[in-house]
Amino acid sequence: MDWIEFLRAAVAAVLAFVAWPVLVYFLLINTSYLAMIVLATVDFVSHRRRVPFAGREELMRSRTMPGISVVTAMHNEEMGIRVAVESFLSLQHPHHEVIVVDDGSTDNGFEVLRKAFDLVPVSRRMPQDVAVLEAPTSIHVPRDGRTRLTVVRKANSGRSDSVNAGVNLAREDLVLFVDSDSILDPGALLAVARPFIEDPITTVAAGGVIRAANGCRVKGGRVLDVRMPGKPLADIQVLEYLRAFHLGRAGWSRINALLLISGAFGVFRRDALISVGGFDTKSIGEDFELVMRLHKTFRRQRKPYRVTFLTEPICWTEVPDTAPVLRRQRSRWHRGLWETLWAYRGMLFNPRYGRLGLMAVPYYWIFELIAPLLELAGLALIVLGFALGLVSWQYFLLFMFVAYAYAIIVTLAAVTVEELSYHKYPRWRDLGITLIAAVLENAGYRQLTAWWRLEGWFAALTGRQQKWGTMTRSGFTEVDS
Amino acid sequence: MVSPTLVAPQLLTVVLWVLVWAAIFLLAVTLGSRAGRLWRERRERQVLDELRPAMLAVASGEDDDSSALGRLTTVTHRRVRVVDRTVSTMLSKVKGEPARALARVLRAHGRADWALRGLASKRSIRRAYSAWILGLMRERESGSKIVPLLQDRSMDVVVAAARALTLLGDSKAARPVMRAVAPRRRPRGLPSWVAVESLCAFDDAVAPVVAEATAHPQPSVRHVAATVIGTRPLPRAAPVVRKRLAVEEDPRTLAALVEALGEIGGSFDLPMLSRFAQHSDETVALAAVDALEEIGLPSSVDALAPLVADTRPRLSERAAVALAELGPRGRERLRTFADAPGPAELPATYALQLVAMRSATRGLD
Repeated sequence: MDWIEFLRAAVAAVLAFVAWPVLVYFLLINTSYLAMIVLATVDFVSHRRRVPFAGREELMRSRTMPGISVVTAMHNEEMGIRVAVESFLSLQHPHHEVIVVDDGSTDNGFEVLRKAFDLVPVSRRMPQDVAVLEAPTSIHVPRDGRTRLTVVRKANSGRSDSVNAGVNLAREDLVLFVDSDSILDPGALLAVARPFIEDPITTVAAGGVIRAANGCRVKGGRVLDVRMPGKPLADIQVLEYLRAFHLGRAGWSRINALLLISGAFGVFRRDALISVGGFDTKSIGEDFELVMRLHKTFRRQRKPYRVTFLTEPICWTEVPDTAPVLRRQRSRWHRGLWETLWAYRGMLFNPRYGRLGLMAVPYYWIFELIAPLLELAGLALIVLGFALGLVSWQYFLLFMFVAYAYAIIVTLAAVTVEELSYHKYPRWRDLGITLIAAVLENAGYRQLTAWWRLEGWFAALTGRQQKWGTMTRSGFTEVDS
Repeated sequence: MVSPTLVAPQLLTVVLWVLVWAAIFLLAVTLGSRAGRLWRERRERQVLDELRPAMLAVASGEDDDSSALGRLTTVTHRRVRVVDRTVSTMLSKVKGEPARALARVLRAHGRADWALRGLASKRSIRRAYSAWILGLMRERESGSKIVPLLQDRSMDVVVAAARALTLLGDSKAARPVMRAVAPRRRPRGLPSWVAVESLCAFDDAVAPVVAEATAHPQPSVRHVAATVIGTRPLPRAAPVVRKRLAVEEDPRTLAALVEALGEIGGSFDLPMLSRFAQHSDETVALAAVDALEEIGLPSSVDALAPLVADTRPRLSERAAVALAELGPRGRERLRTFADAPGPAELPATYALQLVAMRSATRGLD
């Protein structure tokens, strides 16, 4: 039929035109990941070497340790909020407070806290350092007047606005944001405060490593035994977190071009945070947007500053283990990425922003934003070429193997670095799962998440309203002893 | 069937083979590394299980007949490394005679000579570890050899050297430590807290160095100096602090100077601190409120009272809580504020609420 011949000719022409560019793109994107892993490895090695004389014990006693306000927002989390607050209060730090902002919960979350900590209302003047949509309706503290916990109640206005309310009530120099369903290691506060006491003049923000807690054994808000989740979707995300969030961000931090600190675990100097106006309540990618705004503001003001990343794994969170939840998450992340990059497009290739403008921001445009589009387009073309008989099945398989084998190598490199540095997963079985997941990631998961990311981008371009949905959580594996 | 214009299959095959070999290499490294680590850990556990009683006896100072010490100093060559590593960890936690006994174990194993040789090693980790071992062993005569490492190109070495000098406590190292905070040749200097801890561990001879550093062109050095003055504290540096307060431009350093004045100042400084409590930078203003409380004189109450009505809620609340901490006179002022409608009413009420709650749980009136 004529139209099939026409299609064959068209696909053959496009294939001939894009085959090399697509392969080169795959090569470049994976090489960039590999470069980040190599850069991060330098940091990891340095960190591991420094352990004997780094003075971790002395940090706790150091008189220069700044106070930290741990701010967390809760919305209908009555099941886990008590354990979370208890674990935040018991973190090792000489001077920290915990601020819980109840974002209009309709469950018994507040009652759980009131009973557990014997909360009583107090009269406090609320600072207006950062604008909030919903002002607190009441502020509560434990009756003993000593436990450094503040619980704020307010009407529902979203996480960003709630966290901003927490920033306004924060009394300490540093403000740490953490999701109430995340688990912090006991020494997490000491670790995150470290960059600020190493360089108190210029450090304004620090991000921490977030790892998947699915499958880990947890007791009383502490991770006791690190394990792989054992569910394919979550297993693959463990690798993704390790490769992209852990090693990738450590690499960017190494060259002073870190653009993203996860909202699930990040620490900011309060005055810097206030000077840029806190979280943007309208942004979908509020954590990315905040760091971009920090960069832009400080660069424009020509103030010396540092945004850094800690390589120690100290924060654990539950990752989605079902496709619908993962789809919503990835769609939202990519939409946030697009909206923020577009909002700050003036930084792209702008020498005024140094490495950020010339390296990090272009990288995010080319290798983070456009990646799913190019990946799926390339995949569709080669599959179409195969279906139309333009390429043999041997060539088709060879092309696919080469395209994805490099991605597997990158993931294996990340696993090797983890094994040589923190080796958090002690069981051989977990190592086996990790290696299998490194291969499986490329057989469906990668393509599916690329599609979901495109959905998010498309929704943003067509102006569809973002539906947040519910992050359904299975809960942690609690152990009795 | 293959389109000749696509990427040549031969090239793809070569690339695939390269990638397969790379994958095999990475797998081998991962598996080998884990197997090696587990084997080492098991072996070390066995050695430690056997020698732990002797180590604990020495570290706790209960080795009266020196039999445990004798056992540790005569271990076989294969066990020396494990023993030395554990003893080093213990040494960073003990002082006095047990520390000297543990150092004798390392010395018997030739660690002092090994470390002295290592200070000039080409490997940065060896230089760092050598400096640290000498510090742990309190090898005072090695101080002059460690000092040059404060200008080392590796930050690991600089940190290890500074911490070793902290353990040696030789104040002659004060100036090099201060210089290491803002080196000329490296983009990043000695971490601030390490420098502060070092300078606080040295004797009072550091005072002139610290005072001089308050006028250093780099704010990071001035910040360290200000923090040391307040943390040690160094009362003799009060005139320098007062002078610097008038000219300091960096807000973080200014806050550190204000805090320092709270530690070393007196009634003479209350008016100046009150002025800083009005500073536009809230970090500085809050530091001034803390300083006013820290001075803790009866006249501090008069200085803090007007701040309870400050328009900045965080500042007014901090001032109110500080007044409450200053005793009955401060609380009396707060009651006056709480009874009269105005900007001071809410912070005063909150501070009094806190006092009442704390008193109730303490069982006091």
